[in-house]
Amino acid sequence: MSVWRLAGPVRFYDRGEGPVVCYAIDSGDTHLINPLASRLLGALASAAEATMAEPQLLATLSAGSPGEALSLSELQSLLSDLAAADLVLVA
Amino acid sequence: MSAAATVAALGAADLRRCLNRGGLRFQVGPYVYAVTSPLPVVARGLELLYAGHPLAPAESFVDFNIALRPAGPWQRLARRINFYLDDDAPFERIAASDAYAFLEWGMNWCLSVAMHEYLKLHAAVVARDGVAMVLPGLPGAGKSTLCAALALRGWQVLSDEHALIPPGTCQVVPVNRPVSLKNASIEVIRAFEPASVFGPVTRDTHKGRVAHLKSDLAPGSHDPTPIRVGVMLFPGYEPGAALSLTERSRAESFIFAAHHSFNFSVLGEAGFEAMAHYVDGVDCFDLRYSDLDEAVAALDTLVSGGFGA
Repeated sequence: MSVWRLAGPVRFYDRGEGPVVCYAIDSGDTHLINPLASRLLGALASAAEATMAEPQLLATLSAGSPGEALSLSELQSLLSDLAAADLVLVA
Repeated sequence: MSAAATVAALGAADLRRCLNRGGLRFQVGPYVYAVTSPLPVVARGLELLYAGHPLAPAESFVDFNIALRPAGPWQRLARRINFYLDDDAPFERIAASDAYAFLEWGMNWCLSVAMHEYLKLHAAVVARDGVAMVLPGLPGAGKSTLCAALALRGWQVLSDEHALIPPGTCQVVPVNRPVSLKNASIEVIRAFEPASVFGPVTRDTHKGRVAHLKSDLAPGSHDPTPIRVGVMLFPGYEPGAALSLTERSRAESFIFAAHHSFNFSVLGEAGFEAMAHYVDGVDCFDLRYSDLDEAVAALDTLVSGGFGA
């Protein structure tokens, strides 16, 4: 399993409606992401070493959504999508 | 000549004299355009569509120095012209018959690529009772046709192309110019309001037929005072569709406006902050419509605060 980090600093526009705007400061790329992706990016931004391994990410995201268990494959699929959008990188 | 005088005060002969020698200087919102051109179609269009625009004093600073003219004698013989901004020709030559449409597009382009003191959205902007409504939209969504209809029913048109938002505010700066209409929309608006005033029709452009509607009909159309935005509306014309006006999430509205902004990327993080502040201050809606009268009535109600009441 991989260890991940943010590709660069990000800012969020989140008004609790569901969709969240994610702005990558270095590139200026602006994305509309779902709440789960926003929580994942927020977790990486807050990570003590600025990186998180997949099991750690899985535990963090699952703790935030009791009753909505996230599988490892779902997490890896989400990380793949975020990597394709240049928001995260394998550390 | 006082700064309060309008283009109409010049008269046809003096207007043509200005166009031929040194430029016709007029105010569009906070900006001064100076236009020079020997072409009769340009003079006709400006005389008709900019009659109400304030003239700028001869000594005023000119923001956009524009000329439409042949590059030389051979181009004059071939009836081809260039658009010049400050003596640079940023575009390919076009037929002289397309000159008026080219002027309006060029004036739009000037504002799109320069003047980054505002967050600039690609949107029509109208206002009623002191409240502005910004209408972003994809080409073909019908925002210019709707903007034209609103202009003909008492709304003030701030722009049919640019929403200029001072960063840190929910205001827009008026930059009234004629509304550009294409192809069947020209006949739709003529039928909607037979008394509507159009400039020269330019045929066979890359967008088909193009004509411009005089849109400064409301009192105060040339008052440059910014107006508070109450609503951001995403119009979508669908033939035969029942009218529907539904709320749209702020995040979805943010992303659409950002992707259809002239300078969100140019402004960097300041653009993100400006957009966030602006979207936080407006109510956002989708409008689906097929009938202009129904759409105008719905928007009259929306801006007067009747939505959801």
